[in-house]
Amino acid sequence: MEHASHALGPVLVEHASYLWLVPLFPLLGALVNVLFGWRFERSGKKSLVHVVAVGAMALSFLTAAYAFVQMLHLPAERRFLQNTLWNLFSAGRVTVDLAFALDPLSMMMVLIITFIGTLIHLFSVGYMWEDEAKAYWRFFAWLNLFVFSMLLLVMGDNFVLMFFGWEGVGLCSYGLIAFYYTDREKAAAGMKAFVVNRFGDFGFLAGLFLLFWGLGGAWAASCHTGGPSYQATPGMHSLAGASDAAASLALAPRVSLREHAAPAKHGAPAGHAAPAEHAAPAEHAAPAEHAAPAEHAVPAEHGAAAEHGTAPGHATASAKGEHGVGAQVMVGPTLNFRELRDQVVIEETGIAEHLKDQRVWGVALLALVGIFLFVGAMGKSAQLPLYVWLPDAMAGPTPVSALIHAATMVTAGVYMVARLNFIFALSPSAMGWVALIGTLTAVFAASIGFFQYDIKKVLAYSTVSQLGFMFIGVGVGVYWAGAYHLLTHAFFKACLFLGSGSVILGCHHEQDMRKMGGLKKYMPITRWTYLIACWAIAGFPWAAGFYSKDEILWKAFTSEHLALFGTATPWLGPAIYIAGLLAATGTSFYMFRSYFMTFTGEYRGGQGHGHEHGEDPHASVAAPHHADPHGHHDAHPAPDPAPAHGAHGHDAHGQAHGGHGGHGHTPHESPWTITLVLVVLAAGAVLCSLLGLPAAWTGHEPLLEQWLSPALTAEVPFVHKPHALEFVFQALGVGAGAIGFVFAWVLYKDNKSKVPAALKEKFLGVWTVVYNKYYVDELYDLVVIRPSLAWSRALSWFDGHIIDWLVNFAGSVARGFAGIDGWIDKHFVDGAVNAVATLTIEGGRTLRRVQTGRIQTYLYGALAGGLAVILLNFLIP
Amino acid sequence: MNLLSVVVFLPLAGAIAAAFFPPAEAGQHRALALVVSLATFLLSLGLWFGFSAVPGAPEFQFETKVPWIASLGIGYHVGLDGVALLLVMLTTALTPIVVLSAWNAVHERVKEFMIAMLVLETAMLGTFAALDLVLFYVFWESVLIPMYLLIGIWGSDNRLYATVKFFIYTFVASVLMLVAIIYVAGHAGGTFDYVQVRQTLQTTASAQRWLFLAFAVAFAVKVPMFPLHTWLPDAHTEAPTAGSVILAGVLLKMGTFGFFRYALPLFPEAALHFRPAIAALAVVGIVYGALMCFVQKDMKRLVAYSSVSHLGFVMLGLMALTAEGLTGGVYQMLNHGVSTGALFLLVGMLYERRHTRLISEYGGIARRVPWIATAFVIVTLSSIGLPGTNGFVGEFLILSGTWLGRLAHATWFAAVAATGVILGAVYMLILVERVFFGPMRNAKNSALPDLSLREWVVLGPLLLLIGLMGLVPQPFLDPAKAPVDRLMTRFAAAEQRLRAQDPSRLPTTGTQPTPVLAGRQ
Repeated sequence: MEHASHALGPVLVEHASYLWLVPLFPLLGALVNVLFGWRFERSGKKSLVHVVAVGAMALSFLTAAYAFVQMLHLPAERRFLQNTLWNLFSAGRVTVDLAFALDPLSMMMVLIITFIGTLIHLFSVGYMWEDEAKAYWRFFAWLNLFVFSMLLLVMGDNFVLMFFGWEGVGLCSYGLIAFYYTDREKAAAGMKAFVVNRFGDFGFLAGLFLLFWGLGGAWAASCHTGGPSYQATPGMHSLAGASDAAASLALAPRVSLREHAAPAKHGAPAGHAAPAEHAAPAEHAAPAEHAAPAEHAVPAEHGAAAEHGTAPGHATASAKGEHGVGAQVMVGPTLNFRELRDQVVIEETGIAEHLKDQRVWGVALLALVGIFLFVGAMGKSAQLPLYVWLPDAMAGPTPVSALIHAATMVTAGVYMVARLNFIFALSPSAMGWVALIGTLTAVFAASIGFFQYDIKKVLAYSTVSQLGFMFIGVGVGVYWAGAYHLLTHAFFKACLFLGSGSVILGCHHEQDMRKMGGLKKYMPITRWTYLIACWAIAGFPWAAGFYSKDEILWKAFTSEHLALFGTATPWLGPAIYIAGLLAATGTSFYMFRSYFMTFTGEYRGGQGHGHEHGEDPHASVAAPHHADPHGHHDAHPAPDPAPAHGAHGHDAHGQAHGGHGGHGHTPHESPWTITLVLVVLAAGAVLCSLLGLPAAWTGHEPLLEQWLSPALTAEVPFVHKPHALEFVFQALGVGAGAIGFVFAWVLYKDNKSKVPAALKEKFLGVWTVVYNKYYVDELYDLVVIRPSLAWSRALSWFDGHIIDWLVNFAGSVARGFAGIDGWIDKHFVDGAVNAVATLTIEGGRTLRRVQTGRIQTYLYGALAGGLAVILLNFLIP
Repeated sequence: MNLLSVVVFLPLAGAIAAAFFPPAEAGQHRALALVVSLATFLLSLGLWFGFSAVPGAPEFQFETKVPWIASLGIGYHVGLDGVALLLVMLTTALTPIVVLSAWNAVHERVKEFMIAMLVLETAMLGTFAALDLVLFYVFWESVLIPMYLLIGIWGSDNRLYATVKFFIYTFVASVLMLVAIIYVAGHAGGTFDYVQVRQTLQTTASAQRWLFLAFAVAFAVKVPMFPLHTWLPDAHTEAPTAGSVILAGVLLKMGTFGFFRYALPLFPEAALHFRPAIAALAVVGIVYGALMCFVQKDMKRLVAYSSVSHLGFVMLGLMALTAEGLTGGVYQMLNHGVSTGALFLLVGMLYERRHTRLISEYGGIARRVPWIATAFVIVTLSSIGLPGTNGFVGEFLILSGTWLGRLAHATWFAAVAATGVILGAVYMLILVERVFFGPMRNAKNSALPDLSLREWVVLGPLLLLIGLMGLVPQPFLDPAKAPVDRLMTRFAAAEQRLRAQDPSRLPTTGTQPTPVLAGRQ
């Protein structure tokens, strides 16, 4: 790797004491709605619910925008805003602060989340107003809470806070998918999402602990590497045993930096590398010689010694301020992203080299860390094989699908990999796996998208596929492009989802595309925005998807650094390119198929539901229709603007089908809260392209790449290819999109062609397999769920029959002994006792006869007694 | 008389006073028990705020030491370290809640029930406060009697089997400990005083192992650790709600506390010897308990098995012998008391309404009883360790402590234990789904009332604690710091001794040291 050319310094922290407000507003919004929302709703002030929720989002966005402006005014290398609130907990070496941080990457994420989040909240006002669940407040409370969690995820300054958000978004997703919890299937979908995500979380935690463990130097004691050998000394325990965070912080070794040029662009001083050898010998030789344990120095002392050795020599070397002379980088286990980044990225610490050499369980540590963390990402970002929850998650209300299952939560995995770019970039194997799984997912999910009829399912599989593209990006190492695709996808996919939501609303809760068609006549705005978004996702120029997707595929083609199982695989990059191109063709096909089926031809709704319905049990979200469409209008005179939207929608609704609320009637365009949001998103999907105009066109790095570069420090050795070739590849990309478009156009334009039906008949086997999503859910049932249940039953039997049998057996043995004991007791012990008793009784009975009452008898007795005494007197001397 | 003794014996005094009230006055007995347990809690707040957790503070605070049976070296010696303090607080906080929860549930022999509760409280508090081995043993065993009665008299159908099983299981194991205690006193200069014994105990290595085992078995049954756990599901299922809450909330902690206070510090070398086996059993318990939950049809049985799983985490944390693991273990004791206590309360509330604990009898009741559902979900989240709830802090510390520990194969232990986190989510969410979500199928559930004011008061503090301990855990972690450090130091010394015999021995306690990085400088 080309680290030498790019000397990096520690992150320079800019304190921004207001950052906590960004997540606070949505949290407050959620709290208000949890506590008072149902009262608002019951007392006829339903609109207060969304005023609170949307207001909280807007405030959050404004705060984020303020932070963005502040960041813009800072020089690139200082763009790291941080805000520590308090220490959450610390024990031993684990110390967790409640702290927020924004660097250009998380800034981008926060802007996406708050901006698109606000739009989707606004959309929801129109969409959920008349929802049959009668829990307007619950919906908005969850939605606000979701945004809060998502902000924690991206703004958290450490792994634990990120994990707070990570699990929090999972929880909110659970709550929102299972929003209609009285429907068993939807409740089950929510649970599935949570559980599958938990599998991912296991990976996240395992990766985190492995990394933490690796930084702790576990290898030194247990593994066989050339690293410094570790021996115990008394002092070591004081370090190991300290449960005091401050103490362990003080003891933690630090590496002093010589003069350092943090920003690469400012030019590293020439003498930079030279002093490195100076301090080395004394400590360096130590581990080898210290086979005899007793003298071996404690790590803490080492750290101190290192400090000592370096600092004086360079005391005057720099004028660069904080990161110049004497600046220290803490090394060792940390949960803090910045501390982690500093020690890994800064070459002098040697941590990166150490980590690269380590092996655990016979595998390279970093590869394992990367793969485990990626398992976490697989869960959250719906990659093979953990994607299964996402299509089912469409059971939630459509705005939820747009916000959570397209724009934000599902990108968390991509964000995490990009955040940890400096870790992933150290392991070609980890990169290879991320890219490979991303590619497979992209192709696999795209193919399922071909034959789905449920418009939301198409979009769900499309999302899975697009997330695959993002992982190709962050996998091959073009992190900025992965993040860029995340950004563009957030716009066009949110637009598509909300477009579908508008369609579903317009068609009276119909989701089956076979019952749509011809909607362009009724819903012009929805149609145009949907078309623009299709244009963007299909990768045609001037819409954003083209730039991000092409950059990813181009970089994939030029990457020869990937590896699998520790073996270099230079062919992987080009192979990914080809597969990616195929997936892009597929994307274009199924997206335009959905467009043509929905918006062109004749409207097919209202011809009765029924026979076709049985084909896809998940196809429609069975929503009872408004029994009394005008009732609510009367009940809520709607003085403020927001309910007016609902009412407006309702008016349109009323006009469109002439008063008798029912179904299968003429569709209608959605209210303005909905169409406005669609227009803004469609505009975004186009305008985002300005951020990523390729260097081959403009001659300078794309704007977004420049912006993100302080956060994405990993250097990845792409092969340099001529610009001309890049143009060819861009043309190929457009061509792929065009092919998909043409196929869709021929087969589905106006829904007249009989070819799709004929093809389906001809390849019914293939069609069935793909339509049923390759039976992956069934496979899971067979491979995971049934065996674990069987196993549980077996264990339960074991518990009840073996362990408890043993217990009861022990009990019976004891009782057996007790029985014998009792018999002995009865016949021998008691026999003896009873014998005494009998003797006594019998004796008494005999003696009773003595008690005659006749004075003569007594006198005889007294006489006999007297005689006996006298006799005894003589007999016993 | 010092505050600690007052706290310990106030419930007993209340019980004695209650004996003079006529049995017919059920209301008076309820009120008396509530007032006494609340007063105990308020007084124990004095302990909480009076306790000093600053470095250098005395190890045992609120100490009292008077001779009891001087000729045998037995004394009345009580005092609290941080861990005991936390458990005392848990006990005093849970008891009034439990008394209140039994307000309507118990209507037969109310007098006896309340007396049993109060006696039980004194016995539990005494167990945590005792600093004399015999005193400890007396309290330890006297917990059994009221508990035996609670299950045996106020339990459900199969209560006799359960209560006899519970009693004999725990009693037999404890008797081993008594033998060990007597042996220990004999080899520690004829005193039963814990603090002295800890300093002066001299035994051979093999004797130490036997002693450790005797203590460990007594504690392991109480925890309960796999495979000594089978008394627990029966006891829980048959016990009345109040009994279950106390059993899960406090009684099980006596076992883990016993490890922390007695088995580990008194016999460190032996503990090091048996540690891998105990850690392995803990991990087995985590997974085993969780898997058992999948097939339970009875809610209480499910929660009981989940306790086996959660207590496995505690034991794993203790066996990691790292600052993180021990702290996490202590924290998880509190968490389990709060979360599982709340779960049993909620199950009890459903039981009071429908007189069945069978999961299949419910379904879709969230719409009918939204607040019960909400509370249940919150407690569930805490139980599965969602960040932001108390459960997360404990699990995270335990897992990181284990992973970073130097116990052989620690990473494997931690990795397998971490699957318990997944399994936990699965069985708890399935339970929530089956009981609360979906359509309402059983007409008998159509008239369930939601939480009453009294039930809110019962659940409120626990729900509050779930959030508080999840978001501001440090105040609850602070008291554990000094005891954890002391224990670590003891083990460091033990390892020194072992290394003196075998210089090639690598340390197995504490976390991995930070790498020596001088090489790069």
